[in-house]
Amino acid sequence: MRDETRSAALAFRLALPRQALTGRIGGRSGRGTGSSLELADFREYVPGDDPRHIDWRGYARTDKLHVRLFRAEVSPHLDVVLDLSASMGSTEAKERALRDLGEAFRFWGTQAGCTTRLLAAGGDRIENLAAAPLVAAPLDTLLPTAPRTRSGLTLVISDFLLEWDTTPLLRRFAAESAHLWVVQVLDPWELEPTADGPRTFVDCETGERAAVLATRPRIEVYRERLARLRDGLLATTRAAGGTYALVPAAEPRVMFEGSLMRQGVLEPA
Amino acid sequence: MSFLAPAGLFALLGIPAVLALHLFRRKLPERRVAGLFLWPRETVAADAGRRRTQLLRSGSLWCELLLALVASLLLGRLAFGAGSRAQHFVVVLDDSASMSARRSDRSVADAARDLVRERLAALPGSAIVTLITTGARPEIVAGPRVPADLVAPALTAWKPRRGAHDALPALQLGAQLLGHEGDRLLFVTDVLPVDRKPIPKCCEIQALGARLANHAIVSASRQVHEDGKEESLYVGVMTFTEGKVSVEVVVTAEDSEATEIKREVVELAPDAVKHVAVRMPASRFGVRVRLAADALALDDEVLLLPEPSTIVKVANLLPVERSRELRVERLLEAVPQVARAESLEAAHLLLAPAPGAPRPFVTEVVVAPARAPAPGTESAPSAATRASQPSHEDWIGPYLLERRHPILRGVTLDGVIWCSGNADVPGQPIVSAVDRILVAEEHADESTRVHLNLAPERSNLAASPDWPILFGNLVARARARMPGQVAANVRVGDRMVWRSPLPIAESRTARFVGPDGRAWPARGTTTLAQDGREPGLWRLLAADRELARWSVLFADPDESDLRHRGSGTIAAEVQDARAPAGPGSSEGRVEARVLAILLVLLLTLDWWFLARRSSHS
Repeated sequence: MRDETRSAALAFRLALPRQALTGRIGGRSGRGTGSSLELADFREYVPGDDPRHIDWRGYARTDKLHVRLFRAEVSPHLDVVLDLSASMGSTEAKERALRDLGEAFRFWGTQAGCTTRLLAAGGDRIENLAAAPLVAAPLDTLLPTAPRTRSGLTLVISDFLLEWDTTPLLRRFAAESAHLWVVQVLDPWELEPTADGPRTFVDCETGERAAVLATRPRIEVYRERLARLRDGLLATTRAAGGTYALVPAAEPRVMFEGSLMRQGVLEPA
Repeated sequence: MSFLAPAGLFALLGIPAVLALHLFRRKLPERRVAGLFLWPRETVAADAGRRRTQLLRSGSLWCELLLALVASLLLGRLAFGAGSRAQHFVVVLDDSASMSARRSDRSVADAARDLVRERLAALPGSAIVTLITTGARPEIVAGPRVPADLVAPALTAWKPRRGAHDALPALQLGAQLLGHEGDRLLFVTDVLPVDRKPIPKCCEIQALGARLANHAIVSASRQVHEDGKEESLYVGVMTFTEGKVSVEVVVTAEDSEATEIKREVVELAPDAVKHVAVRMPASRFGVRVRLAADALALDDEVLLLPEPSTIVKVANLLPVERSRELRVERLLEAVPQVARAESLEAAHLLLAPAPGAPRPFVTEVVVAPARAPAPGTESAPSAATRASQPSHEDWIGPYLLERRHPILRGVTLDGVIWCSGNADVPGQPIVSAVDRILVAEEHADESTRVHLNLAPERSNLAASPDWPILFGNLVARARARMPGQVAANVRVGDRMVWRSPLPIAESRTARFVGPDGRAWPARGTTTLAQDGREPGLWRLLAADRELARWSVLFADPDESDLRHRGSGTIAAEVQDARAPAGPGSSEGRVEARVLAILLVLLLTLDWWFLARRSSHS
């Protein structure tokens, strides 16, 4: 992780959801009961229960034997799914933002006691994000090939500039996760294109070329289409109980503070 | 709206050129994008290597199209309103020889050229000009309606050398060419007209002449004597001065040594012709007669070429009795320039008792009383008519004479008893009595036949004074139709005529070549003619062969008299409120300035579009 990213990331932490999590034994309260000190419930004594857990005060009151039940402490999983398709490298700023966000979320996940993995969309686990190449082929799925932790946390980072419908996939992510974050990263020019006359646009992934006259009317058409795509992502994510954030590629602090924190993905450390 | 230089509209070809450049255009700057599907596209260029793309209606394209349009309007000289119609300036130049008169080193024609050039320079840039020279048939030497800069060569080449003539036809032609308000007609001459009335009111007259003294050769001829061994030159000289002058006349032969034949000083009184006669051996060389140089050089020198033979050869086929009755032998001796033909083929004039086969360039005179057609022929009268009809008819007049006919020149037939036959002669009637045609002429090809419906033995025509005159006219008629050159020395304006059948191939190439080398096609196969337009040596050529030469003499006392020339100005009577602007006028140029400014703005805008595109790439 870059020093700039690290220094910016230290000021924030991942805003984990309050609902009960599942995971290995760790520092978080899990959903089930376990051997932690936090009282969760009572039940009737049956022979063989640990006499240390008998609720003697309750016996004194009720002349009935009950045992105390405690919440289990869990360590949650965080899968960060990264879109490593060529579209994420349409500009240097966008690619840099992708890698900064990936590293930052790994940091935050680890800091929060999560077992954090970086997974490539449509690919395997990412060991070294800094060296991971962008894939030229078009992305046809966001699902990593590596098996994901069920009921863990899932965070998907992509530009979602995909011609195919991502709704079913996002719903699947949400169904299989305790919580889903959808982080859409776009270059500032992709959000607000400038009218700079006729150009040949070359699609990063398909190689398709098109002569485009970037005039105001045509830019308006593009923005409307982009807005519809974003609205679809937002609706799908919220319907699934997840969190959607749009992050313009920028300096790490700007992204963390200006976008992610404002949209509820991060909170101050 | 109109275009003052329509040829400039060829610049509109720039519009398709701009479109082609944009269609087959340079590579556009590329941009890598994600989500190309979100963009509305102009075209899909899937493969590199495809060169033609759909037209992008970019700002640069519109700028460049408008640039091409504005440039074509600018070059085509778009103009609106009155400025849209170019002013027409018509110049009529007096083409008479007196315009060549010189004072010091400049001639009147030089001054006329300078004046016209000055006026052309003052015209607006959009003006059009027509240059006309005067003459019996005015000639447009530049134009009509050409830009002023195209008039210069014709103006420089103009050399006035014509004899006296009326300039009015040229002025009327010039006035007809004026179409609109603001058009101008200028007549440049060397003397102001006495009577302004016939001259078009819109005509401005500039006279640039000067009162000058001059002497001139006003007539010249060359005649070979009858014996053919000697010839005589007759030269008429005049002076147009205030008092008597002495003028030296020099006659030289055009042989290799320029042999001087005669040198004589003659005393000349104003307006009186002095004839100089020179007798010399008959020569086949030309003879040049010169006077001392003066204001007008054109009338100071003549070249006299040897004249073709004018002896008419007569063949007499009349019976002896008839010939005696008509006194033919006496006439042949009395009439000048007549000789007996050695053979029938050599004859120019044929006297015959009956019509023979027509011969080209031969005049046949048939002397016989006309008879009614013989019985059995189609138009023969009936036997009863024949019985009642006398064989002869006697006429004592009055006779109906076609007085304009050349053979009746000087003929009256007063007191002539004419005995004719009882029928008419064929041809065009020349002399008639009541309803009887007595003399008729008919033509066939190049031959001429004159019928004399005459019984000489019963007439007193041969004894009358009209008969030698009539015979002499017949000889002159035959002479006028002799083959070959008619006359080698003619006056300016007279016709040069040559008769002889030419092969078709040669007739197609026949041409008269003037003193300045300019050629005039000679049309016709047997008779070729050309007006002597200007003085000097003319030649008739066919293929590479020279057929004949003429010397066209400038012998025109009216033009040689320079005492009445002068300078002055007569303004045009019809003044136009919208007078043509002088130099520096903005007429017709406002539109050009606006278009030029628009051109610069479009260039700047296009540069801005292209620069912005470069900065974004």
